Amino acid sequence: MAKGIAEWYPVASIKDLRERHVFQTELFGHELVVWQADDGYVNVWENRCLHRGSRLSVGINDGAELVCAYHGWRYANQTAGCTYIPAHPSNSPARTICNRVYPSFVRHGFVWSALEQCSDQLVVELTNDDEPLVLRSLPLDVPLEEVQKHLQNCEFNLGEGTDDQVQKHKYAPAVGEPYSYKYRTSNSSFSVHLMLQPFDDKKTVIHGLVTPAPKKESRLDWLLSLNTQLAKFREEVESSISVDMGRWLDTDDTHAHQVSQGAGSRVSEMEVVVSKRWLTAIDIVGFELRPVEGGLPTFQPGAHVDLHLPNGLSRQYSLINGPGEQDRYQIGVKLEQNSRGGSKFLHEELHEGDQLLLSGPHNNFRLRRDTPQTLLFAGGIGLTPLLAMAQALERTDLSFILHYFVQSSEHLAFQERFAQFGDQLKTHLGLSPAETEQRVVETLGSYDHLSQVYACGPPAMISMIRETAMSLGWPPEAVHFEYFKNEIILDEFSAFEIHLARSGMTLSVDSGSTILDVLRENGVALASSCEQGACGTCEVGLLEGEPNHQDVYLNETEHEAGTRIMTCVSRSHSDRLVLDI
Amino acid sequence: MVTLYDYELSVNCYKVRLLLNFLSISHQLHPIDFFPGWEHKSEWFKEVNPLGHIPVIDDDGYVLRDANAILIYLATKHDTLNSWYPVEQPSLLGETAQWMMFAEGTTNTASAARLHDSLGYEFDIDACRAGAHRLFRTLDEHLWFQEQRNLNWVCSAEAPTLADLVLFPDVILSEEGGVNRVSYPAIRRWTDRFRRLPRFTLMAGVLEAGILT
Amino acid sequence: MFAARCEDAALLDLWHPVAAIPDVRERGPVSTQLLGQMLVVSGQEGEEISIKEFMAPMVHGQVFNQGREVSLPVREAFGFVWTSLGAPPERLFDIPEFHETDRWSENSGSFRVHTSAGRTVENFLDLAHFPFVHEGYLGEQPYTEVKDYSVTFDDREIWATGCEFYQPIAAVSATDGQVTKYTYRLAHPFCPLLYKTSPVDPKRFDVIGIFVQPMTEVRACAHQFLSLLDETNDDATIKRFQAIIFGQDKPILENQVPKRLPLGSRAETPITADKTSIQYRRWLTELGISYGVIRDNTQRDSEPCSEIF
Repeated sequence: MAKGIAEWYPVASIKDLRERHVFQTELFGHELVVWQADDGYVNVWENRCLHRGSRLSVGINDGAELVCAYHGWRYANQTAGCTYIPAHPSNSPARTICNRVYPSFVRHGFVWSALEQCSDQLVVELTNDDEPLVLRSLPLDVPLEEVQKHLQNCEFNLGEGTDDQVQKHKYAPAVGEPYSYKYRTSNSSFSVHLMLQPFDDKKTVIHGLVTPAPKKESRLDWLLSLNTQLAKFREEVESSISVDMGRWLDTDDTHAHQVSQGAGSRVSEMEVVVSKRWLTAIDIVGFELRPVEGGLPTFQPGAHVDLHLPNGLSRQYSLINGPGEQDRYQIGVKLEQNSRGGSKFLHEELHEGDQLLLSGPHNNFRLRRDTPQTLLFAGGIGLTPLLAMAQALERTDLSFILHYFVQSSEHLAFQERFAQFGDQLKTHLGLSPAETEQRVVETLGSYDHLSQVYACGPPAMISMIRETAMSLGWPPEAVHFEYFKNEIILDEFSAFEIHLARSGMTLSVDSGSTILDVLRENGVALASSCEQGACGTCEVGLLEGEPNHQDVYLNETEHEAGTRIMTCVSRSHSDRLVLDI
Repeated sequence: MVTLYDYELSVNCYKVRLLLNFLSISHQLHPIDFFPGWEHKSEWFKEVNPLGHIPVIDDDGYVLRDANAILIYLATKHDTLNSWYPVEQPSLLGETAQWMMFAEGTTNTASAARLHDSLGYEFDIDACRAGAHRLFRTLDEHLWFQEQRNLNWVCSAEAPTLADLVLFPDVILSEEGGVNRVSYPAIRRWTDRFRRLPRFTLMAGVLEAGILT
Repeated sequence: MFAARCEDAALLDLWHPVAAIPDVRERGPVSTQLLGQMLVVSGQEGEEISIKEFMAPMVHGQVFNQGREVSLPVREAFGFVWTSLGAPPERLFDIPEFHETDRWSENSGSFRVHTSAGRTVENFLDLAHFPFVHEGYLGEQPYTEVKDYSVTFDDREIWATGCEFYQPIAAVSATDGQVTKYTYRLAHPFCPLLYKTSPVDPKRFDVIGIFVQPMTEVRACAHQFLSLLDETNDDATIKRFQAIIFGQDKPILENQVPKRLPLGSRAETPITADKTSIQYRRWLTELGISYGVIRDNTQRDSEPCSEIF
């Protein structure tokens, strides 16, 4: 079975994926899910949700994300990164929760995929640029070798229902495995290619195409004629082998299911290029950033990236992208009056084609999706994270209103994204602070237990919204905000020391970093997976100290025993912990 | 008012529930403890249907058994467009009847396999599954060529017919009987289209297809 | 096709449910499978129930005639027949509520499912799927949050307490949505029970459970058990509710891969809401079971930090 793994095979025809269909197939017994997002991108992933192994092929393609049927986990177009876990609406999924993506591309009307990254050599290269006519793909309950054996002796009648003499050619691809067969009509005006998809050890799919595509009115005849012949071929091949009745039985876990975790649990800086910059409103420039190499990491609505500028400064900007827009990031940069070189540099010195370093995305402004209504309050450039949120909500059944406060219509940024919102976007132009407050009071009303509020904008406006909400009876947990100047909000836990008993090292864990972070920074290569205290991967033994357990992996008895600790989330009540490493 | 003697997990009852909802016919369900209680074999139920089968409807005293008979009766009585059972178009009606007969085959194979696997009925499971696969191959080929002709449904009409409706439950629940649909992409796309119909109703075991905008 | 034989002493020695008593009494004999072995449970009205194991390989579900028959121990409890392939303990776990006289307790169906017993149990212990799989019944979108709860594991039982979830219809006797409180109890590796506030008496609990029979490594039969205070609904309505819930879980369970329950901590991605199943997988690991599960071969036994340095 190892033979031929690093090659491209057709796994679906592009028409198989129409209308948000979630297509299911296999390659050498590996289950694949194939789906096309509304932007046209075709995803080929392992057919398995990382959470509980559910087949994603029974889930829903919402046009931008694939949603698992079991617990509603959402996976992003292109990256396959998990963007939302409904059971924990206020958490960001760890970056490690990323499904396995198989290499793939679309050509000649088919989606091609491979189990491993391989050369550009396709088993079928067409010289004709026209889209060929794609035949009906036919699955055979026969192993690959049998199909190959029979195909070598099989003749097909080609041509528009005529008995045109067929010249048959076996086409041997450069890679040396016969996965493709080519046939020509006698006058060589058409050729038919049959390509084999090794489904598993019992099943093979024959895909086919005619090139150049015959004229429209004769296409159905071609399709019918070749389908009839291929079906007859299937009948012959299937009846020639001794059919084990067991082939109808389900194969129970015969395939090795490998555990896959997305690559790159820690993404450091990456190079991006400015692919577009445009003035989107007074003093606001939009930048579109594309990766120099590879793809961009998965983002969630509300997330921001760190831009590392050539002048040595780092600045945080929220992504305005809608779900599944993974081929590029877009940010909005407002020229600050007292810019110390961040926004000024971006406005004046960063042009299309320039490269810079980016890290993240990080998300401290997380969009809960567990209440029926969401109110988004944007002030000026504070629109950016809320724009991403509104686009995410737009794809759900949840209702929302985006209130956008600006000085004048010339200050409205990113209007090209507004059409989708209809009357869910309300712009408020040129209001004084008092009028703004009055508008917020009217809009918020008293707390109804059904809504969440998100606010971003000038600090004074955020404070006003928080205070107004509180005076109207809104509990703090329903009011979310992100202050504009992306000062990192340190977490509330005090610092402590860790002593590594075996190596004798003493390290300090400061507020804002975890034991795991500190260990890694000091060269201790500790494995981790979920990074939220659930999987037990980053456990270490604890010899002394009073731990502040914040994991769910250990049970209460073990928490009380205090001999083990999950380094990704747990901290210390005492000044010092002694770890058994 | 139509009363349906119903068991939630029965494909034949589901066919009737689907049409009741598609045509917005006001009705009530009378749940029968088919499993594990075998209420359809009880003395009282045999007075409703001496054959001891469900579904049965009682339409203000008019009692009718057998899913196909009920569907034809309800469609003819309530479908003002005559699209589900196109009595005014003989060739389309013939097509509809032909595929409804075909669905007898899928019920006796795919749905029988499901009863075997879920409820422990003693059927020849290998024969049921093999028979279902033979029929699914025919259906997949037919639906693929319908797509080539820009037709969405089993019969050559703009709207779905009772042929689609009676095939759908056997097909969508086939994997409960070990009849995998991975080899039938045209069938799988047709199940998406059927599940996206207005007033489509789920039954336990049928998952949503998601919306198309 | 030979079903794999179970070699796990921990499973062979357990009591397992194999049939509902009425199914044997009124419609028996019942032929079934337990841990890959063929069994026939018989006993018409007035007879003793007996269970015979056919010591023969099974081909396509059929037993060869020449098979040797062995009688197995029989126990009747909670409306079901239980047996064991090994040396079962004297006691079976108890459900005290079952003995209360003002309730009705019964079998609401034995449903087979094509996945492992472990996957079936885990699904029963799971709250987070309610709004997705049981929408309109046990949960409703967008109310998807699983609030924190506590899990204890002692005296060979797992208890999950303080579980809360918003439910549109928590039981057939409820007429509108409410936040329902649950307690889960796992008194046997394959018998999870759920206690929830009774809609008719808030001081007492309805008990719902499944007794899962591991038929093979990847096939299970979920025998549904109910013990309710509900007097308002008829039998068929309550059974219909239970059938809908299991019917909704079935395609989800049958589309989980692999079918055997993976025990390795990195095989899947547990989250905080999965606390109960985290303990459950650890319990199965400690029991030394390998039948119907995938053990973690990369486990870092007593050296949790072997990957360091």
